[in-house]
Amino acid sequence: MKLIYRILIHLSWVAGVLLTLWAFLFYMAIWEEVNDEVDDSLDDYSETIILRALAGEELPTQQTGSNNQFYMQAVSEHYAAVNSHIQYLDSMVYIAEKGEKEPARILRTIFCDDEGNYYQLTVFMPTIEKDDLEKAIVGWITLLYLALLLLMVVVAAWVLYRNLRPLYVLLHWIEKYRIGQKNEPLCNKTTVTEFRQLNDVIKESMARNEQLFEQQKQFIGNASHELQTPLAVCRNRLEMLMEDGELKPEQLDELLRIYRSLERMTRLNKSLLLLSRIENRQYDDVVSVSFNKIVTKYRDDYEEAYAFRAITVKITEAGDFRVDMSEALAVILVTNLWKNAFVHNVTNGEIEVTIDYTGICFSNTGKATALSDRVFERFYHDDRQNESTGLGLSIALSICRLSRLSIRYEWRNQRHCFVIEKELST
Amino acid sequence: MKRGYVICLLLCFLSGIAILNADNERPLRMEQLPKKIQDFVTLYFPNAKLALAKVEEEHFNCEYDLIFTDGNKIEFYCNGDWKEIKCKRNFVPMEVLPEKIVAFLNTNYPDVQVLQAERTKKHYKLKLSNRWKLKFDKNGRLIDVDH
Repeated sequence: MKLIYRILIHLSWVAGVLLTLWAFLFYMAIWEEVNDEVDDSLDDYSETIILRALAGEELPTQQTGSNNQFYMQAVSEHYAAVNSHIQYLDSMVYIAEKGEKEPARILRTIFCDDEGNYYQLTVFMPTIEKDDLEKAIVGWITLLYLALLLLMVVVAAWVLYRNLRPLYVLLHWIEKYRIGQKNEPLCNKTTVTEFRQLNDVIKESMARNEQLFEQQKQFIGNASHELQTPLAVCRNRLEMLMEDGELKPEQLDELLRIYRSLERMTRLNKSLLLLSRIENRQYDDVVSVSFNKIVTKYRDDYEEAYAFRAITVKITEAGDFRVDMSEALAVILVTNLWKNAFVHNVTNGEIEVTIDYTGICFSNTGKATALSDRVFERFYHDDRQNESTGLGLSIALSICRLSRLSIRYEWRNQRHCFVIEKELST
Repeated sequence: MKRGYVICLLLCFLSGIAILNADNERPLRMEQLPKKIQDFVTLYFPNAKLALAKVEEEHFNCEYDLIFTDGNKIEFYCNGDWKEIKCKRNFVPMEVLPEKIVAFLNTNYPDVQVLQAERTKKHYKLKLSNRWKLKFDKNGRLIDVDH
């Protein structure tokens, strides 16, 4: 979820709760205020009548044209003692003039006169209908609420978007950034301290990454390059030593083992060098390469080399698989896969290569269980095979990455399959 | 944290509303009135019989309303000082008024009685039996006459 949406959702949630609360309290306050006003007016009315009654003056006429009404009755001393002398009530009263019942606020006041007789004066005033008020308030509050919410969300969205723009610029830049390639400089002008800090930190970190990457590349490259000569020298010396006829057979046997190890070391070194070259992008002679040709071209070589294992090879061409990449790399990729298919095969096994315009698939018989996902990792050995350097498939992966191809392993119909396809995106 | 805020706000609102609406009327008997008011009544209106007495409580403040069976009405401030005296069958006792005003009335309106008296922090307002209305400042100087 985008940060902006998250903030907006939170804001509207909190605002919703607060506004609901406010609406409720507003309703209460209005209702209280209305009651209060009515009570005040009833109080005045009642007081006027009581004062007039006590002073022996003429009482106002029963019908004053307004819906205010009153009646006075004598009550017993007991009644006066038991009931509160001032009572406010909400009730329906019958208004004779209208001939219908209406909600009214009632005030009952008990007072006594000079002779000690108690009277109860009841005054009432029709009030607004609670339901109507409720409906009106709820309606208006809802409207206000929606309008406020909408306005708030729009304003918040605009403000947030305006303020967070540097963040998105930075994120976009990081997303496009490729270590070891030419990148456009970060252009993210902002006056916000936090964003400026973030910009600086990210720039610094990227520069450090770039430096480390370069150093590592150089180290691997240099190490394998520098190892090449001493390794060659060692091998030559060993060969010379082995040609010496005075060696005992046991010694010769031992020397042969050393020689094999050295050979393996040389191969490893070569592969590492190749990997580092690929990753250094030293193969940038991009041409349109047809995999069909390369696959067919190297088939015979491997078939001859592994003739002793009597492996049946079958190539199915359903289309021309063309990729824009370095031809040298394409050859390395295909030969690696060929070699892989032969080396990890069984005697009398089968290899089937399927090519169509979307991709290419090497499938071969071999070990009867699926391989782990780690086959593409460097120096990953499945069964400690001496001949294998453990780098073949990681070279293949590097080449594919560089040439925007995807490579994946599948265990299909008791066969190991390596599928290369063009990357769909970009 | 956020929930705490919301609850706090709610409480503030509710207490606000409660204070706003702490507005009610209670009937009182003579002996429930403050001593100062009882003394005032027995001193200046010794024969008066109470028809109804009530206290109006509103926002930390209050007001006492006393209605007598002869139709007189006296209002008191919360501290027991009189606020308004309205007489129908008899007259406002001169003793409740400041001396300067009494002196003024004796000189200028010797035969006139006071029907109604009202006092605020700044003014005294009197309604006389000849229907004149006088307004004095708190020092007893006449500032307005109306009739």
